[in-house]
Amino acid sequence: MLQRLSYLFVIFVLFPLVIWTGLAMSPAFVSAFPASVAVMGGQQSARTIHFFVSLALLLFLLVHVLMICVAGFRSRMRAMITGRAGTHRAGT
Amino acid sequence: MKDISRRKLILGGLAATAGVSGLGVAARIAQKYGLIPPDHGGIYSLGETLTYASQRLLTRHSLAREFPRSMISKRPLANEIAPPNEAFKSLQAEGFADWRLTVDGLVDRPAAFSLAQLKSHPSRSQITMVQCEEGWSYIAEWIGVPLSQVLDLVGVHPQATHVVYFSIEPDWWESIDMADALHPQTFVTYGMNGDELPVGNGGPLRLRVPRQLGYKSVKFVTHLTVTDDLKKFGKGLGSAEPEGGYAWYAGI
Repeated sequence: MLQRLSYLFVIFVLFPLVIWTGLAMSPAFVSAFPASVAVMGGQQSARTIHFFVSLALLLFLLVHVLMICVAGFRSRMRAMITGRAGTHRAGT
Repeated sequence: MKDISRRKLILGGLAATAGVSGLGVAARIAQKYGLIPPDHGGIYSLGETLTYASQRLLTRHSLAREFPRSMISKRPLANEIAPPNEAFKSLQAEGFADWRLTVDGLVDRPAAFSLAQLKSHPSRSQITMVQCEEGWSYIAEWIGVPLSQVLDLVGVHPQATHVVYFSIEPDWWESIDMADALHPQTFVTYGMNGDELPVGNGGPLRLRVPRQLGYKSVKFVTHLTVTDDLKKFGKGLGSAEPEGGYAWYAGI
């Protein structure tokens, strides 16, 4: 449950926010869509939010990799690449 | 690995070939319509090109955000700490009376404008933000002549694609495409917040390109050249910045 919530949070909150605040720092993008930065209170606020969201994403990545290592690096990697759930038969 | 059949492999190969050749055709077309930045190449090239092309296609005429007078920064950061060179200092000693902006290249009537001549044209002002690559920003009122008006005075040839502009400081030069050069907010500025433009902010003359990051707004401008070939300047990357790893197109 916690895992699902964190995935939902990353995909539907953090990623859209980091893209939005990234665009809000672009002078050319803001010239075309001024509302994109106005609701955030200016470019400098966007910059601050962007910085902390990127830290959160980095933290998510680190924890993610850490969990893979805990769960067995080889079997997780095999599961991701071949699509077969990691059984621990040697040689497959 | 037996899951990948021969048919899938062939289909995949065909799709990849079509994709690559499609990209090739797209690059040709983009080049023809001036959608490829001059510093393409290197690992960021695709991203830079996509940014530049999409912004030119979708937001060519967008206007930089202008602010109410109440939002003008109390202390506009004068980041020009290093003293400009001797040539600058001798001009400064005489109150910039001999400062000239020479305009040449693909123009009918090359000219050299003094500050007084530039000021004799109807002045325009804009309250816009300078945003630096380093992260700081300030809002100021910029006063000057639209670059498009200066270009009208000298008569730009129709094949012109870029305007290259040089600072009195050696190796400090930039260029913009005609979309930005003719943009109504691109100014040759000589004033700030109702006063002369301070040296720390680029005075006596600074080109303002408010739709791009601050480094495109070159300080102490003395020379404009209209061209149809950026390869002839410096290392051919369009400006001094890409030679140091920055993007030529700073609309980001």
